[in-house]
Order: sequence, then C-alpha cells, then structure tokens
Amino acid sequence: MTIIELNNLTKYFKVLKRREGLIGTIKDLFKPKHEVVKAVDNISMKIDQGEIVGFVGPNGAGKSTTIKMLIGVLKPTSGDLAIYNYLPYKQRKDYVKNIGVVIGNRTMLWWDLAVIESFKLLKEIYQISDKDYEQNLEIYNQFFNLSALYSTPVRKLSLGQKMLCEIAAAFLHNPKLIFLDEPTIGLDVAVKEKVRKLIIDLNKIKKTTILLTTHDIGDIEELCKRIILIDNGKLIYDGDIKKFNLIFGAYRTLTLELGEIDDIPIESINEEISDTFKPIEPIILKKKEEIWLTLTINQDDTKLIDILNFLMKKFSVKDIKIEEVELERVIKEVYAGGLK
Amino acid sequence: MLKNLRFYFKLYFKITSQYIKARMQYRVDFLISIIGIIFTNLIGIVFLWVLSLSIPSIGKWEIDHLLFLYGFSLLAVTPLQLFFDHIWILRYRLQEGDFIKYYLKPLNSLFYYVSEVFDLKGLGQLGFSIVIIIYSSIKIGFEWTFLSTIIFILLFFSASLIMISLMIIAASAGFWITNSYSILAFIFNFKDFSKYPLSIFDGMFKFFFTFVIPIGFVAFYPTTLLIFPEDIDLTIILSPFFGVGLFILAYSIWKKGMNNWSGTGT
Amino acid sequence: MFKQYKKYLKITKNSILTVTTYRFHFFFSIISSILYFVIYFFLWRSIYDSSGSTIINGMTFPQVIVYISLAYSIFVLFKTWTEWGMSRNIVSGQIMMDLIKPYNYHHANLARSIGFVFFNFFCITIPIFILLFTVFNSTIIFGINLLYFAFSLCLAFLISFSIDYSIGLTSFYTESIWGISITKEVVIMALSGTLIPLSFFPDSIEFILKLLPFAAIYHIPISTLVTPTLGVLDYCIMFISQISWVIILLGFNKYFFKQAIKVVTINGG
Repeated sequence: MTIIELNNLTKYFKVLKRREGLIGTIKDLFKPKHEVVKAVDNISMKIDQGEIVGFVGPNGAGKSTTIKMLIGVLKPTSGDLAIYNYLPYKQRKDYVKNIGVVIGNRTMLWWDLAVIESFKLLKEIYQISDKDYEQNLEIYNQFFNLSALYSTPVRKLSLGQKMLCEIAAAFLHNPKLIFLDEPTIGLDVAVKEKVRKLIIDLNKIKKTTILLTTHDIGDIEELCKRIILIDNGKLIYDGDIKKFNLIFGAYRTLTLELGEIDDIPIESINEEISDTFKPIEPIILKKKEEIWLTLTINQDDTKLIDILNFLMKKFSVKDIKIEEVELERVIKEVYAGGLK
Repeated sequence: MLKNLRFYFKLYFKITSQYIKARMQYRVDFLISIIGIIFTNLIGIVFLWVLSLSIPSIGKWEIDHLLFLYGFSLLAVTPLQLFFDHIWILRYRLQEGDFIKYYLKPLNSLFYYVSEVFDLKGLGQLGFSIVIIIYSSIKIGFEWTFLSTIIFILLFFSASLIMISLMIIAASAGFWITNSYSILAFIFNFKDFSKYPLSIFDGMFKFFFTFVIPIGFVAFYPTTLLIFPEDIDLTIILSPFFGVGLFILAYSIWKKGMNNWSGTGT
Repeated sequence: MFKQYKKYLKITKNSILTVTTYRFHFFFSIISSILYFVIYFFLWRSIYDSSGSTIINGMTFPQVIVYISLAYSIFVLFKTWTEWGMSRNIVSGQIMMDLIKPYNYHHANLARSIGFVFFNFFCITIPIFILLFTVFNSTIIFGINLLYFAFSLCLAFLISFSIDYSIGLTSFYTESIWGISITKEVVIMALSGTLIPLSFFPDSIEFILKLLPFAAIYHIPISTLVTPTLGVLDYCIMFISQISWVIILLGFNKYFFKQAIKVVTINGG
C-alpha cells in the first residue's frame, strides 16, 4: 500500500544576495538583491507501508527541504504531495499525530526535564492509552535498557544517549511513519551501531515505515532496502539497495605509506598495477614528507590481500589505511552511469 | 471546544509544574531575577516619589491616582511576563532552526511554544503590583464591591491581551527578518510609556497613542473607567474589546509567519 | 607597539559590520528614541503646567528637556550589549576559544564595544542631537567646553564599559545575568538623570548620587555642556573623579577576572 506519494514536487527559495565589504553592506541595507534557488526540483516518488527508505545526497542537495515539505513545515512551490491522504502543511495538527520525527543534533524533547517526564508529557499530548504507553516502555526496557537514563535531564545526556531517547520518544505514540534526519550524525562507531540496532528492531516490532536521511553510507547499508539519491534538488536514483551495494559495497580505497622509493620507476609500477588489478580510479601518488599511494579497487574483482602482497614485494610499506568510498564519489559514479 | 480547553489547561499545568521543578536547580538565578524585576518596577515609584516632592498632581491626577495607574499597568503586563516570556528568544530558535519542533506536535503551535517557559520572576512583579494597587486604592478611596471587582478583572484581562498581542506580533517579525530583537525591545518599552496619563498629550498625540500605538488601552482607559467614571467616553467603553481584537490579529500574523518560515539549511 | 593594537582595530571594524547588517535595528533605534523623547517632552510639559511656575528645583522646562535628552542619548550611546555577549560566550563555553587566542580578553571586549559605540553615535546620537538643536538651540553652550565634553565622554565610556564588563564576568558564577544586568540598567536609569535630573532629588540623596560612578557617566559630561559657570577648579574635580573611577574599576576588573577565570581552569567549565 502506497502511503507517501510525491508528484513533481518543487520548492524555490528567494535568497538575499549579500555583497562584500562595508560599502556592500550599506548597499544591502537600502537595495537588497535577491536570487532564486531551486532547492527541490521536480521530485516524484512513492513509498509503501513498512519500508525503510534511505534518502541520500550530499550537503545542500535538497534533502532537508524535501523532508520539511513532507513533515508539514514547508509549503511546496508546486507539485502534489499526499501522505496517508493528508496534505501535510495544510492539515498539520491532524497529520502530525500519525508521524514521528527525529532530527540529529536537535532535540524534540524538553531540554530541562528528565527523560521520563518528557515521555509522560508526550503521553499526554498524543493521548496515548495507558496500555500502549506501558507496552512501549516495556519494549524499551527489555531490548535497550533505556530505563537507566529515565531520571537524567535531557541536557545532561551524552549525544548518543540523547539520540536513543529521541528515537524512543518518536516511536512512543506508535506512529505509522517515522522521519529520521541524520540520526547518527556526530556519533562514534560503537554508538552508531546501537542507534542502528534500535531503529532496525523497532521497525521489525512495529512495522513502521521509516524515511531515513543521511550521508553516512554505513547507515544505508545496514538499515535500508531501498535508496533514493538526490543531488542539486533533482532525483538521480531510486531503487534497490542491493544493486547499489553490489557496486559500491565492494569498493575500498587503499592508502599506503611507503618507505624510500627514489630509485624505483613509478611510471612502470603504475602500469603494472593497472594491468594486473584494474583499479577503479587512477593511482594517486603524493610525495610530501612521507610518500602516500592511494588506489580504489573493487573487492569483487581484486582480492585486497593480493594487491597488498604485490605492493609489499615492491616497496617497504610503513602504514596501511582501508576506507569505504565516500558518498560524493558514489554520486559522481551515478552521473557517469554506474547504476544503470 | 470546552474539552479542548480542558486538555490545554491540564497540559499547561503539567508542563509548567515540571518546568518549575527543573528551574529550582538554579536557585541563585531565581533570587537575583526576582530582585531584578522588583528593582525594575521600583524605578517608576522612585520617579513618582521624586515628582511628588515638587508637584502635587498632573492635571486632575494626584500622586496616588498616578500610583494606581502605575499599579494597574504593571499588573496588566504581568501575564505577558509570566506566560509569554519564551517569545523573547524566538529569534534564536528561528535562526538556529530549532523552531522546527513546534510544527511537529499535534498541538496549537503558539500554545506549545509559550508553554515551554513559565517566567518565575514574573511572580515578583505580580506580588509587587498587587501591593501597589491595594495601597493606592485605599489612598484614593476606591471601593472594592462585587461589581467593581468584576469590572476590574474584566478590564485587567483585556488590557493584558494588548501587550501580549503586540509582543507576539513583534516576535513574529522574526519569521521574516533575521533579527527581530529591536522590534521586540521597541514594543516592550510601551509598557513603560503606558504608566502615564494620556491626558498629558495634545490631541494628535493622544489619537496616536490610542489607535496607532495603543498604549492607552493598557492602563489609562481602564483606570479612568475605574477611578474617574464621570469621564467615560466611547473609547473607554470600547477598550475591553480592543484587546480581544488585537489578539486575534496577532494570532493570525503568527500563523502566517509559521507558513512563511523555511527553516535553516536546505 | 602600534602593530599590537591592529588586531583590536579589526575587532572594532567587525563589530560595526555586524550591527549594520541588522537594518531593522537601525530603524527601530531611531523611532524608539524619538518616541521616548516625545513622551518625556509631554510628560515634563504637563508637570510644569501643573506646577504653575516656570522654574522647578532651579531648572526651567527647556533645561530639563535638554538634560534628560542628553542623558538619554548617552544612555543609548553606551548601550553596547557587552555583558550579554560575554554571558553567552561564557555560559556556552565558547570563552575557551577566546582565551587561547593571542589577545587580551578585556581589550577584545573593549574593542567590540567601541564598534557598537561608533554605530550608536552615527545612527542614534547624531539624530537626537539634531532634534535637540532644532527644537531648543539655546541651552547648550558651544565653545572650548565641547572639547572637555568629548574628553569627559571618553572617560565616561570607560566607566560604563567597566561596569558592563564586571557584570559580564559574573556569568562565570551564574547561568543567567538577566537579573543583575536589568538591575544595573534600572539603577542607572533612575540614578543617572536619564529619567529625572539629579537636582530634583532631595539634597542629601543628590549628594550621595553624585559620589556614585553613575554620575561620572552621565552627570559630569552633561554638566560640561549645560552649566555655563564652570571654572578650572570645577573641571579639575570632575575629571579627577572620573579618572579615579576608571582606575578603580579597571583594577577591580583585573582582579575579578583572575578570580573568575579560576572557575573554568579549576572546574573545567
């Protein structure tokens, strides 16, 4: 069953163009100049009940603007938008009863109040029945041991603890749809895992539809079955995560610090690597105080261990870093037709 | 409607009692603030007292009448202080984008926003203004009958809505411009101007302070109705409705601002 | 030597640029001042009308108006939000970033404050003065005393800034400085002559008020403009009292800062 439907959704902003310097500031004072920014440009999509959908794009791509239209904060410039047959910005009060929202690095709870007091107020606001309320607290306790945090004021929680409580609070009134905007932003790896587990478990228990905005590839890989990629306000990919994983999940960027290589002909080694291992991108060699060699490979084609063996025979390797690819690079690849 | 009202009252009570509990951790701040607000209010008394050393009255308003006017105007801005103090930082909430949360609860947005802060120091002002009103009403021989008390409360209610509405409008400017502080500070000053009898002004200015910047309705007209009923005229009779009308206007501007605001970031 | 102060000049310039971006602030400050002026003009006029005489406490109506509007324009001129900026900065912990920068915290705040004063001077004080000259051109004395006035005003600014700065420092101890700051503002309003000239107070109180630093901010600079009878000795006394306040407050703040900063360095904020 389709619950979210967007048709050619578009949002334009008029932005004041600031001029530089003292004279510029004075000019702005009397004669402001505006320009139109297309934050969201003709986006269409459909989302079904129960899905976890990753909504992905680099900073400034128009993710937040789209989400703001979906949660009823912004009025679209043009296009259609329906969620559970509500028009969010028009029927705000009735509509928001059906959704939960979590925005990373903002709090939806009461800053000065203890967590449990915030929960009690939410119970009052959403008129949650005693039975549902108790049941949810029970779940939070059993699975995540959240009760340890209940008596702490929100402002004293650590970033990770706060996020867990925010998510728990968003699920408290059993909404059918949850928006998670950068839920793991600023968290360390271990806490990220905890947050992701909470999201997965709650989705399983409650069959809630989740729309997740993030630019952390890890979030997407672990949580989503489907991703929607946007850039410059335009939708550039909407489809299965498997296909996405197939390509980018296996990409690794390898960075090695090398010892002395003055006497080795780099050109020829470059060629040799390219011929034997077919890296995805050309090799980069940086020579500052240390010498760093960077190359990106597809693990499905090339075994990491092989390339390491090869390189270690040729050079003295002092340090090794292995990283997943960055989102920016994924997007470049999409434009180049990598997902077609 | 009535059920709705009960829901909001109950909720406000719950939020506020929790809020007060939390604020009590900052006892020193609370104490200093109470002292601060009492000092702020004392300044008017100092002014009147120094004046009384030189002159007995301004027109037909004797010092005790002026004191009553002062007390009424103070009382009339107390609900603003107590219940609407959060609007002062609306501009930060808007600039930093935190304001988004007020769209996301199935509550009236203005209610939800102002419910988050209950200004404890306003209690100091409440006590102070009541003392002044009681003292001055005895001095001028104002009789607290059942009827006059009812009229007093009605006038107080309507008068308090005026500053509340003006401040909501001023804060709402933050939806359109980056820093609405100057407008807020500008409007907030009106509360000080409302402490003097409008009869000191010439015709044009009197009209100006009645209809353009309606500070006359905050204290002067209601007080005239109470202590000089023989001076009654149409503006004075209309004054109770003025506050309600202005509040409706303020609320619709707030609503419009919410529709206009785009949040920060894209 | 000069180079050392260049960075502070940049802070001043920055703070001017910051205020000018708020065009509504500029607009409302002027309207607000005019409104204030109108209300107190009518208030004092009706006070003089009611009293039936043209001189109250040795002052005529135009003299009172000139006095309180000068006091008010100094009040607005020195409104630089120093303590509020410091408070936000200290309570949020941002002060750590200031402390590791290669400048003196006190001087940096002073430089910022001077930027605001420049803005206030051109956007608020000058319009008020123009208003004053067009309505009551007679009671301000022009001559060499303008020079004394400027000098006295600079000292007054240092005193005013020092008071704001020490209030800002209390943020190390409390969450919110609202109470202290508002109390300061109100005490200044009441005791500086902004609302009511000092000569309206009973003699004994007037005497005490003149000993307080508030008089050094307001009463002394204004006197150089409106009192024609001042002699060399009077000027000496006035400037000495202002300079002593500057020294006392600067010394106090230096000590206070040393004490207050311990709260951060010992407790780690």
